[in-house]
Amino acid sequence: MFSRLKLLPYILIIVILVISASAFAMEISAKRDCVVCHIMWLDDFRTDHEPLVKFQPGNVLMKDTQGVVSSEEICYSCHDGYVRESRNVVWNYNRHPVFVKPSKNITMPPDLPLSIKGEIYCGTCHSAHGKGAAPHGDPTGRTAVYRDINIDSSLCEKCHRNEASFKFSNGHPLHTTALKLPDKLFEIGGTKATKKDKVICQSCHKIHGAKGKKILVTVNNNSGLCVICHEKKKTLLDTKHDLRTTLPQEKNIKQQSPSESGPCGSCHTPHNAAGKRLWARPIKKGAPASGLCLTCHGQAAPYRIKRIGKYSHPVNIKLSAEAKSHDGLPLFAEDGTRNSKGNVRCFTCHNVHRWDPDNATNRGGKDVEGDSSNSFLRISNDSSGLCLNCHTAKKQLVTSDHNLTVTAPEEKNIQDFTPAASGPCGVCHVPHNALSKRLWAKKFSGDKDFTTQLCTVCHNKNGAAKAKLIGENYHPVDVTMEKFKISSTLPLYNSEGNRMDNGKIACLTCHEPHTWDPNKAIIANYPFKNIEGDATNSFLRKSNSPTSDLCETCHKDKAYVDGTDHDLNVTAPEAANLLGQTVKESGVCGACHLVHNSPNKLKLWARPYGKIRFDEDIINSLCTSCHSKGNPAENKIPPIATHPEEKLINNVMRSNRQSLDFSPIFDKKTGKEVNVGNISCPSCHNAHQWSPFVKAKGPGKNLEGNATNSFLRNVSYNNICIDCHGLDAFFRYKYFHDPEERVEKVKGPVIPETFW
Amino acid sequence: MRPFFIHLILIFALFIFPVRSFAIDCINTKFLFDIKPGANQPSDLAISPKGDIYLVDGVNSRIIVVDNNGRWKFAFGSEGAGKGQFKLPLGIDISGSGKVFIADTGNHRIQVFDAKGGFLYMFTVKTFPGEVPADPVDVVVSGIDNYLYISDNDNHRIKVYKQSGTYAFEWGGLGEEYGAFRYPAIMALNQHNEIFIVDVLNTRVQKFDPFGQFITDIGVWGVLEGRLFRPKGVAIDRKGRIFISDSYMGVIQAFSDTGRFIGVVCKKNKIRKFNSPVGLLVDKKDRLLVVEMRGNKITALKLLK
Repeated sequence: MFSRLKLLPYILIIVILVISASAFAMEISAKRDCVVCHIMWLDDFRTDHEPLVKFQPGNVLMKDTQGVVSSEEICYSCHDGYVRESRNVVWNYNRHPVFVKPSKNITMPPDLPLSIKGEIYCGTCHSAHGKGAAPHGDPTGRTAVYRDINIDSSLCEKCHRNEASFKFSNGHPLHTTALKLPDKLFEIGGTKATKKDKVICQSCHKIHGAKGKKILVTVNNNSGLCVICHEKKKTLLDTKHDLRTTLPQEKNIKQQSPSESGPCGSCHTPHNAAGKRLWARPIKKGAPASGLCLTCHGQAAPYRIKRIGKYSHPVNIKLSAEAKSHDGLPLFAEDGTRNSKGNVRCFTCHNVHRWDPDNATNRGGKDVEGDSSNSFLRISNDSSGLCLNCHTAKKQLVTSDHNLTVTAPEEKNIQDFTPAASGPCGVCHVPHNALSKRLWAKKFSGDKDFTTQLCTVCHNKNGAAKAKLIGENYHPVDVTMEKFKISSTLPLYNSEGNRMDNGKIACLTCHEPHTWDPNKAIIANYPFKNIEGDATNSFLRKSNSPTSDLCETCHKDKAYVDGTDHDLNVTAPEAANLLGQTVKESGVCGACHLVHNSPNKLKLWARPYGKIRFDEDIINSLCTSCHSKGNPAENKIPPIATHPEEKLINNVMRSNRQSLDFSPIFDKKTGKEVNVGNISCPSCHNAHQWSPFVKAKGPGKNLEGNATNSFLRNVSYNNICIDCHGLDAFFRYKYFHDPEERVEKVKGPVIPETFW
Repeated sequence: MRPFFIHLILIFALFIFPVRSFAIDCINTKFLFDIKPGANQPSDLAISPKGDIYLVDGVNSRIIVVDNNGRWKFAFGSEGAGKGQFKLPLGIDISGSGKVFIADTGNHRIQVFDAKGGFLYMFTVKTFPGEVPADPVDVVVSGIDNYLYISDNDNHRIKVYKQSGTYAFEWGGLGEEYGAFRYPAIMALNQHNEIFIVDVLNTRVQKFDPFGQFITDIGVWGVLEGRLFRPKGVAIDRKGRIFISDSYMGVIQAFSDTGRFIGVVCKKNKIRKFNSPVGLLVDKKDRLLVVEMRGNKITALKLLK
């Protein structure tokens, strides 16, 4: 038996053992929580026993530290559903690359460590001890144990600075709330920001469990992710602009084929794009926005796909004043961003994301040839609605005979499109691959200059407008104004159809082919029955009735006829010209002159020539066409109006039309102005001006004249009579039409009244 | 020398020079076959009375059924919250009558199907004030009172229902003491309907009587033989051996039901490693079926004598 004293050492040993065991247990409890992750801290690895797992200090990843961070397997051993469920979120599909070195575009901040190999690893972003935060920056950091707070993807932006500085790196906008982000985005895995509609990295990217490449929240080979927010662009899919079908081998600047990048990715890349609008194709520095399109459609592009040709609708220009009301058609700044003060660009007319503006489901197709109702136009142009949106002054064309969809539906333009396919404007003009600067769309015949052909291509005996020809005798064209020593504000043209101040007279000088009636903006209920026009319409640039506004533009001194006795509105409103038109229909000038289809070459006379004596100047027959019995001026028939025949008169000093003493003499047979001939009516009378003293239009009433007016060309003391008769001329001049009082009796018989 | 000092020297010698043994205690197995039915991170399995194997393919929101030799039969379930739909289910058990009980974890409920996958009924696992939504990760069918044991992982409790879905009782709570849990996971019953529950972060398996009374625990913290680091699955063979899978270490170890370490599952006396082993099952043919979560397969082994 041991004494009590002898038991003491045993008791002491037991106490020591119990205390040390308790301390060990306490140590275990504290260590266990750490070793849940930091397994290599276990003392089991520091015994002589063989552990069930290898001691791998090399598995420690943080630079310059030992035994701190665990492996991915440790993470998974809890996040497999039996402590936290992360199988679907972290270990399914794709995730942020780990165990790779950051790319050269990444700038690692000092507080986000890399592994000892300089690689990204779980602990680069995650730490149970960091400022870790929930996706919205929950300060408790319990959810994702981030190493730093991650408010609205701020953790992502710490490394991905290029992408964060999207304005400088041409990246997808971040922190914008410009679009309403649809719920679907979040249903498929997008993370809501602190403001629901704010775009953050995690709107599109999922760090773990991303179903798409590049850790996108969903597969984006068909741009399914892009179109969740950009839903209106969805209509691009399966169109010709879906390069998966049209240019499957073509690669964007990221060297991705369309099937890899998705249809949106062929032209847009969300990060580090070539230019604004996230452009994903090579673009020349400083090239304007329309260059985006020309990378494929330009003349220099490697593909022969819908090149725009030498002559194409102008772009990169300001809108003309006429086009200010461009409803719904956007303008763009040079960088391709919308700007209401910007310029016309390709995408002013084209919506490259939608084939058919009226039918979102119509995607056209690889081999479908477009027409004016689709072709990626912003507005269907089958009624030329798109063109007329800017070219508002041309609107009348649609309600006129120049709308060939109605008047010549079988006609075809150079693209072999009927008017129905091309739209009314497209009959004569095509925006691309046109034949000339004026975007001409009709085949040339080659026998006339271009400007003339614009009209004669239809207005010929075999053309669509064969019912509207100009005849053999018509107003001069293809001549300059200089020839007639007149000027005009009407447009003149060179042979290429371009307006020039010193150009030639062309059909377009008087006619505006887009506007049937210059006094109306639009014409309602146009009958399209090939109606006969008159001087108020007929595609004239100005109305020429009741006053001679159009003719006056060039023939200013002839317009004094308005309101005089020679204005048939005043003296013979019911009288008809050769076309059966009253003066109201023909206009004042048209009562006597036919611009087209005159049977009379002389002065394009619009009336039947009047009777003259066999030896009389033909020019007088123009006067007698009215001043004869049964005609409008039968009460103004002089009993005698001829000068003795055998006296040949020279007017060389009076042949200048601009001179005050102008007294023309005409060839007896042709009626052309000559210098030697006989006195005829126009030698003394200017049919267009009532009084030589008053260069003005008439009063609009039938006046009785005297020796100072009566359409006399000059005053008595300065007329051609003086040249031969000297002072005697006063009397001869005064009594020229008075057979009784004439100084020199008429040798021949006075014309009997019955002659007329 | 006086006996006291002799004894003292002997005692210290025991501490200073412990008896060392470096041989591995092995339970040798023979590889039979792998079952690779196209699952994505499967978790648990069960065998029907007819011998078909039901595998929980939770990430794919379905249950895969293969025959006893691993040949594909059919699958049922889809993603969602409706009847017959799943959200990341983890656990499964099959009753003697062939009813299939699924711990539909993400939907916080238990769903019951017939052997062909036809939906029968379901019920939501109840929680009490202060608790987070139930996180049922496993379900076990008991012969006692038709009890259905459900491990509510996030609430660290075992919830007991009747198989009909009627709440019965529960026990547990967060803690390290006996009867408490830190993330209870897969469960198994022995022939006495005593329940063995993996207690993941407490690195042990606790044994309870059918009414939740603590009996004993198995395993201690560590990475040496007989120790557990991340236990997940538990299964009991006909000999009453408790097989415990350790998903991090990739091993399966066997213990007696009193907690004595028996051995590590081996292949020719070398430790057999598994890729994240979780659910386990020993069938009537002494086949050990191991669900390898990251291996996306079931490994079938023959337990050798």
